[in-house]
Amino acid sequence: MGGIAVQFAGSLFSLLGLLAIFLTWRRKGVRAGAWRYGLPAGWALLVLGLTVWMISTNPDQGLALGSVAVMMLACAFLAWQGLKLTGKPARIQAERESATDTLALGKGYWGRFTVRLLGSLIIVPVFGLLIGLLWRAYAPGNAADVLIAAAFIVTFALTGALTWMLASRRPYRTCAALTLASLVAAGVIYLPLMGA
Amino acid sequence: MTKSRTLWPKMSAAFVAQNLTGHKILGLAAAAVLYLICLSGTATVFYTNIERWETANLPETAALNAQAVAKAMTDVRAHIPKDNKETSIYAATPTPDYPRLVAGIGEEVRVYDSEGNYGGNGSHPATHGLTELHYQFHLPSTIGLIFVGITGIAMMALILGGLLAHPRILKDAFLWRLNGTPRVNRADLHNRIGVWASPFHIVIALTGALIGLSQVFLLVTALTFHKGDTLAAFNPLYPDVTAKTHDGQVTPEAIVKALTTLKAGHPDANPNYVMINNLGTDHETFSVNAEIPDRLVYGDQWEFDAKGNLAGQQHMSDGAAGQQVYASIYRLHFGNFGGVWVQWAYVLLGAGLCLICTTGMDIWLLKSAQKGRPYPRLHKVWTAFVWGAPAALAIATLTTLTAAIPFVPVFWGLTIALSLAGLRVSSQSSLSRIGRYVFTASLLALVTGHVIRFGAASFSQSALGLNITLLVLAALTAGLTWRQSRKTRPSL
Repeated sequence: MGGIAVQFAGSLFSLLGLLAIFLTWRRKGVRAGAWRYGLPAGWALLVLGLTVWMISTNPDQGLALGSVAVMMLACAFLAWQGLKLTGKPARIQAERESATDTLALGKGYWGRFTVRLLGSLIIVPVFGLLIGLLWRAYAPGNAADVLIAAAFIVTFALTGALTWMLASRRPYRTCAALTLASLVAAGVIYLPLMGA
Repeated sequence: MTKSRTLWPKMSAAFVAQNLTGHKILGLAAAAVLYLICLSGTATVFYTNIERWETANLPETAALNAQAVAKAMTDVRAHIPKDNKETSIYAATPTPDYPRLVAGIGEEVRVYDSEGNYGGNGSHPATHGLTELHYQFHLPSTIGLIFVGITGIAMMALILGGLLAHPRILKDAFLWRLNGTPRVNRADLHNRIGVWASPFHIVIALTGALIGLSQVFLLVTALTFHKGDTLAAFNPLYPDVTAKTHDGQVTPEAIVKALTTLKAGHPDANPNYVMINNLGTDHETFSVNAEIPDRLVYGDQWEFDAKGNLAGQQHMSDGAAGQQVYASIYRLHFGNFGGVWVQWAYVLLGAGLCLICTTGMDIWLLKSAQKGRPYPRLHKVWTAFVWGAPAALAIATLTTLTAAIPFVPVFWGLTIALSLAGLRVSSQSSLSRIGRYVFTASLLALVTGHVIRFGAASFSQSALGLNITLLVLAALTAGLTWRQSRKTRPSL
């Protein structure tokens, strides 16, 4: 029962946090007095709500349950926005709309395309795996902790490298940098093993 | 008065444009695959309910009866096929989420009543068809698992690229311009769900990638540090605590003894899985997995010798942090850690993820058309695919359920056929409307087929909830389509 009351309190803090962010947002960017603190206060309340959820049960499950609750509340806000169908004119998002298309067909397009493709399919996975192995080889600590951290590092390295490879204006350089990093990592991992 | 500042770091227009380009390349390349994985994943949240629904006429039991478990496993042992190559027999014991006693070997699934008497064949090919689309995209098992893991990485990169490509994403956290152009409307929906549900998206993509790619990483780790011994590479996470004795065959009494010992030593642990290993050898052993209440870990595992003596515990719930994190990945991915309301939240958030996939592609198609480079045929195929794929899932389930036709060819054949059929429809808005009605009809046909196949059992505890859900989904889809067509607002 106590757990449910604490979880209710956690949901309440989350709701208040969302309300603060929403009301600050409705002021269309111009804020006076206490509204200057609307956004930080809103996000702080969201974090407080999650913390309360974490102490309501075991921290791992509490954080997961609290996050789901915040997301559902936020989506409910969005649905409510959608149902209201207000007649406000669309705002201009200058920088967003003016973002230029860097995919235009031009000189060297197919070369860059091929490097992006091969880099994403070959260099990025090799780089990600080697960074994970590097952690597995040299990180201190409990073997289980090191292994699971290495698995996470593989995932994050793959994500970062893939994002960089695809977004890069100079995919040749990106590919070369990732290849070089992979070679260095491979050397640091395998040379001592070969010597052993 | 002060001008508001965004909490998001300041980024140059060139950096934003570059990330938008990367986001676009990856999104276009992976949209259809991601949509199918998200769609099947959303349905898979309720896979135990779907499995019960598919075999609605089989007995259910809420309570765990150790004698019944032992009797069921003995019955499976008596029915081992002559050409058996499996080395283990399993039993899934009743839990509140899955009130059934199921035992089997390999692909053989046998359901038992509360006393351990055989109740019928528990094979569920339609559920398998759905879950295997999500786990391995209907590819050969290991290749499929890795492929789906790679899509998890693609999803992570899309999330990262998307956040970097939208510098105002927090500032515009609630902006949804319903009265804007169709593209602006879609873009706002895409970005708003994208930001508010991003914790869910990150968790789903990260855990999916870890599940899919862990085998590759462990193999590489084994080759690098353990001379190819994958068990040694995996040992830190799953320490080998199996019994080393040679006591012959596991007896029914041993299983009862083990479950009783476990209950006495760990009263909070709820056993949900028993597995006899090294089947047919002189050193059979068995393990019992049990759920731990109020934890994210899927459970903990205890090992016993053939006489039912405790040999060791895996300590997935109270061992090293790495073990606990690893054991938490699965329940976080599938949403079965907080009861039905969390599962429903996962379904709604999963539907939002499907919407992000579809609106992402729509934004590009509409933007291209605005720039004078329309792709009308691709747009039609995409719209038909978006509604055709869920309809194909429903129809493949129907034909598997009522006519035992294999799920995979029906699903893929129909998905391709319905997507291409979109080319025959003249207008985009008509196509969207027709697609929704086809989906509605497929859901109604599925419920009708279930009632014809199972009769009164369609209204039993194991099937009624899902049948009502399908009918409500059909009614909502048809109702919203009808309402939208009357308003003639832009449609998907």
